[in-house]
Amino acid sequence: MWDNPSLRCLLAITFLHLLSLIYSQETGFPEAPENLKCITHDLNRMICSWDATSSANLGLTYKICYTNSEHFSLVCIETEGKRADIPVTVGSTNIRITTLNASGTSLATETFVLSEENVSLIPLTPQILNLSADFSTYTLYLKWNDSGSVFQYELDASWQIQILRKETLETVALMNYDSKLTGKDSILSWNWTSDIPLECTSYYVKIRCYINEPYFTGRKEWSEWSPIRTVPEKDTKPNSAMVFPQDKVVLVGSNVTFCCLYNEGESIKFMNYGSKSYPLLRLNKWSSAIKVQNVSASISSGTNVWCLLEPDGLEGTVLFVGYAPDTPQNLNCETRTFITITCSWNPGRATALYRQRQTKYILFERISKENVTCKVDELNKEHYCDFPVHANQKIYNFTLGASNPLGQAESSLLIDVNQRVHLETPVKFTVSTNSSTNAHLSWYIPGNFIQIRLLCQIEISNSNSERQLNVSMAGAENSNYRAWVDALHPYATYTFRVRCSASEHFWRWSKWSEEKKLTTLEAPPARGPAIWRERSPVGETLTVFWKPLLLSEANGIILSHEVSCYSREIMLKAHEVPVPLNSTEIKLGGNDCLISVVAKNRAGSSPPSRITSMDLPSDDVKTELAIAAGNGIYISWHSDPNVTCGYTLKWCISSGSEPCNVDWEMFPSNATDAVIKSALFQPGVRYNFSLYGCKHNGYQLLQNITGYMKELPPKVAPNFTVEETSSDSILVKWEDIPVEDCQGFLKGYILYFAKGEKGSSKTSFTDEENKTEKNITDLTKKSLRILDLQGKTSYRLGLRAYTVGGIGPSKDLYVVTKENSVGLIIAILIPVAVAVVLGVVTSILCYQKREWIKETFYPDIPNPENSKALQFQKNICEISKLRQQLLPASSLRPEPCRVPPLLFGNGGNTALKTLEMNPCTPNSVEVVETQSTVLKIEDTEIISPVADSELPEDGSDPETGSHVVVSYCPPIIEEEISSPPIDEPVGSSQVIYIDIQSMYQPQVNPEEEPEINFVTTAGYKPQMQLPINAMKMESHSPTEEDLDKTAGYRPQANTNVWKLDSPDSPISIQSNNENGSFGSPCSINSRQFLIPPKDYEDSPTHNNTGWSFTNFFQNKPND
Amino acid sequence: MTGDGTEKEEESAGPTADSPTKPLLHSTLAAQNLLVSLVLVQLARPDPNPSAATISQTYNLARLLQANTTKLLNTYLSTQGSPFSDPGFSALGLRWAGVPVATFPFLAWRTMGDSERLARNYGAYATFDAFLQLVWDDQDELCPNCSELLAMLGTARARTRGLLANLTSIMAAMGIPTPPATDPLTSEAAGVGAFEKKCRGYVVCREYHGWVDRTVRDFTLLKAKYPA
Repeated sequence: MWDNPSLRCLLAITFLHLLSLIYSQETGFPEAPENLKCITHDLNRMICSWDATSSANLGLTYKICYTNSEHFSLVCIETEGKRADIPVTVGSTNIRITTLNASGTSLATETFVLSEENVSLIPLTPQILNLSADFSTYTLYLKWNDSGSVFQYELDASWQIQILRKETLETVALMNYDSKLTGKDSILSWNWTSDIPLECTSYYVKIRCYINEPYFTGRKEWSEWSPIRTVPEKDTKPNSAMVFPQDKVVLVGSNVTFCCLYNEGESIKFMNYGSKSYPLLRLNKWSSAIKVQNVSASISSGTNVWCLLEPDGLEGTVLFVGYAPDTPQNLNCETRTFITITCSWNPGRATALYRQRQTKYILFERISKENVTCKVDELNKEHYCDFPVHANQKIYNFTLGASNPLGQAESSLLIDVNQRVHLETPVKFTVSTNSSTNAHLSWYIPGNFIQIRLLCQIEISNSNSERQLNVSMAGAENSNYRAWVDALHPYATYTFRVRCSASEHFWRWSKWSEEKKLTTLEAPPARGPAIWRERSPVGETLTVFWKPLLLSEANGIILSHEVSCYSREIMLKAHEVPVPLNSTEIKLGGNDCLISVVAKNRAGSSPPSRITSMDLPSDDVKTELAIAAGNGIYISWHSDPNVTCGYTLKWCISSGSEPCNVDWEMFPSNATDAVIKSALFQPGVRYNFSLYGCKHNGYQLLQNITGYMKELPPKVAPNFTVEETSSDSILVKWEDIPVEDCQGFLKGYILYFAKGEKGSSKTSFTDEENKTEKNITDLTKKSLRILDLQGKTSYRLGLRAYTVGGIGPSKDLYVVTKENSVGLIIAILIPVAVAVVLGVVTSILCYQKREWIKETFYPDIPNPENSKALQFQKNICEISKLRQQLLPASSLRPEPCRVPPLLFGNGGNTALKTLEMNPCTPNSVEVVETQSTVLKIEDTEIISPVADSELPEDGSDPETGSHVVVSYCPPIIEEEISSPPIDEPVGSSQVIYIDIQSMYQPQVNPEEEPEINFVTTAGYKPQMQLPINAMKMESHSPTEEDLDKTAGYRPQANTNVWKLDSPDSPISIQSNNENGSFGSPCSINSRQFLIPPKDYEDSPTHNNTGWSFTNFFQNKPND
Repeated sequence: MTGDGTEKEEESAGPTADSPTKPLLHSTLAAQNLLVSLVLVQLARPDPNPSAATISQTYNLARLLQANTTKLLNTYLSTQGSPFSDPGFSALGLRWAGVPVATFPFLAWRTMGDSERLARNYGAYATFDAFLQLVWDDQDELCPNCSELLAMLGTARARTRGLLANLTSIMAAMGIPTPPATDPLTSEAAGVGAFEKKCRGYVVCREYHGWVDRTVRDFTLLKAKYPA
């Protein structure tokens, strides 16, 4: 019917008309319904409610009419309340509400067109079915019914759960949970874990729902919150204060919140985690908390968390902080008995949890699906667990699970039990023997090894050997195992032990069994002893020596040796020598025989050792030196072709006063050298060896050898003395060092000597730097003369002997050489002789060259009157001036010219007094025979004109030529007048020689004199033209430089001396030197004596720069 | 911790120990009263007691225990972590139901009869015997590697048993009935937290220490009363 389009159209028009009526039918009746609201819980029916005033009329009823969309019929219901339950329809619904009074009269009618959008979908308020709490895990468990049966089809539903806590209902969490409604009622569950213990405060939960029906176009809203539910309290709510959580186990590094609950009347002072106090977080009136971050592993009894309460109370809990179990390491499973398989492992990192909280291990075998709980001690490092061996099961796949409250771990291992056999230690180990070479062994191993073969290792050891013997044997069940050992040495003590393993699949050896000792039985000695014999010097007796047999050769305890003497296979004599004697004497009685020695023990006799008693004569036996080999003595010899049966080297080591022990060693015939070693050899001790050759008919001494095992430096210093000493040599003598002190073959001596006195700090010659050493290698030399020594000097002498082993100690002596008198005398005489010879030579030379000297140093002065030397310089001639002034005419009388005691007077006053004499005194020579007043007058006169008039420049005085008296007046006066220093020609310096020798010289005519003078003047040119002003003591010192400036001749006298004390010098005027002026040449310029008087030699103030013969001698000692 | 004080009290109590049994034989007695006094002493003195040797023995045992209880208490505290192991830790306010407390009014203690004195001792050590075992178990669980402490607890318990045997012997000799055996730990329900176990152990060790001190004083008194 609905398919008819026209009908549809009609209906639509009708609907629109009605819709318009809703809004058009505005009524003024107060009873008219208004504000129609519809909500649905199940999308099937909706509850519509409206507002209407009903105060005036009680008993109002409402008639609601709507079109049933299913049957298209109008459905009307009457209701007293202002709500009605009508079906939810897609699209719009026309609802007409008529208000009726009690009598059924319609008071007002209102028609609503209710569209789907105006319908709200509000799910039914959910109900919490169950709220429970797990206090240990701080978890809340919530259960509720989703009321899915309300909707007949699947729908998405969302749930909102709110967690509140404290009395103040603080929201802790608001969680969403989505579910699907299946059309049937379902119980939904949800849980939530708190961060703080649930005991710490009250928790509340409520829930609401939202249905998401995408095809419903109306409003979809959250349901109402369910009624609030309180978390149920813990059953065992304590009466007293408590700290939560109680005895919790947490991982290292966790963050944990603790709370302290206390009762009314109490208050919390502080709360500690261990020894540290934490800030309190107030949870409610009777509860406070602390938050501890990153907890570290606790001690075995846990970490205490405690709160101190006011007025009095201590409450606490213990937190166990540890680790989850580590993966079991080195899991190893093996069987020892085939009854159980023992698995062992290393637990790895310690969990820090013990007992209840410690790691629990379960060994699970996958093939048999059996498991075993392992009892382990947490305190032990190595853990074990046994699993039973199943018959007919070879392969085992083990998984070891480890778990504790904080986690779990596991390790797996697959084994074939036959390949993992680690047998128990063999026990009941016994060893027995009934022979000298065999032993029987027996031991027991617990376990069932029927299925496998065993491999057992027997260790046989004695003091010097160790060997292992492997024995394979069939396995048995809890059985004794046996073995047999041979090739043992007779009368030897062996230590046995045994260990076993599986033969086919070796896995591990068992531990060694305990050790057992066994001594085998005795057997006859394996060989005869090594023997030697020595004839007495006379040859009557023969001493037979033998060496004890080694333990390995003796095969038992040697009781005695039987020594017998055979001659042509016939035993002449035999006697038994008990142990421990190792030699015996046999009287030969002149017959040689074959000596046989047999060692005997309880088991029997050894094969005999034989040696002939025959000694072959030997001549010219040399003694040679052996070479010390450090650990032995190296001996070599020349091969002797006649030696057919070897060589024997015999020696004897003496210890103390006892007779020496004969020892020997035998070598084959082809041997030519050997290193003899012996524990008895000591370094530095000389040993003597005798080499015997074994020839077909006896032994012959071939060679004596002496040597050392190791040469050492001599033990003592050679005893030496000083035989004689001279001024330059010392004769030293020494004695030989005794052989026992040499400790080696002496190679020579070293003599040291050095200057040194007794008590000097130097302790040995090695410190001495200037020592001299002499090496004396000629050992026959027993004395030495040390030459080239200094006289009267202390010498230190040292003598040391040396060997290859080193230099021995030194003996020191101090010797003082004698005084060398000849040398001293020579030392004095030579210089004296030299001086004399020099003097003589000089004298001779001087004598021979006297003319030259004279000419050079002391030329004749031709005519003092004319001499230019008379041109004295001004200052000197001041005295002359003075004289001129002072002298009265009478005083000018000629006076006998005397040699004045002083050339120019004794000081000024004296000079003044004697001025009369001065003009003629110094240089006048009076010829006695011709002495006359006239001459004197003339002489004076000669002077007078000079004094009155200027002297001619040429210095010649023609008038003097007539005088007998060779006299010249010191030209002082004239010079002052005639020759001012300015006018003095530079080159004309002249020396006036006042020479006594002139007396002896042939008289020269005054006329000739100028010539001579000229010649002299020409030949001599003073190089020093010193102005007279400069002739003061301080003014000038003619140094080398000055001298160099003046080329040519240089006065060779000590000019300084002269300068200082020359009579011309101002100072000298006052001097009292009489001789100073006499016979001394005087230079005009220098005004000094060219040849100084003898007295000046000793002048302490002279400063000699020039060469002087005298100075040469004087200076020498100073040098 | 309180050992020193107890020792002093013991010493001060020493000279007066004789006086209750021999009231007239005091230091001020005149020579003339000597005979009378001796008679009275003889009357006041109980019959020669076969348990005198045991009393002396018990006294020695108590002295031996006394030397070890301080060490036990200190060792115990040192292994329990803070606050127990803190230096100078003392929580006198801590009590544990059932653990005998040694403190007692002096006058009452001083005038206590022998049978009561011995019975109280017996009762206390019978309880300590059980508690020491409990503490040992607790510590074995909490601190299995505290071998020294466990050994000391074991020794303390063994000596306590020795003390109990001595007490039984003395009481039997004196004709004092031993108190009926009670299980002092019936109230010790399982589920005691680890911290409470530690506290319990502390209280047991502390009170045990106090009780041994008291026993030494008791036996000082008894020894004087029953000289060997």
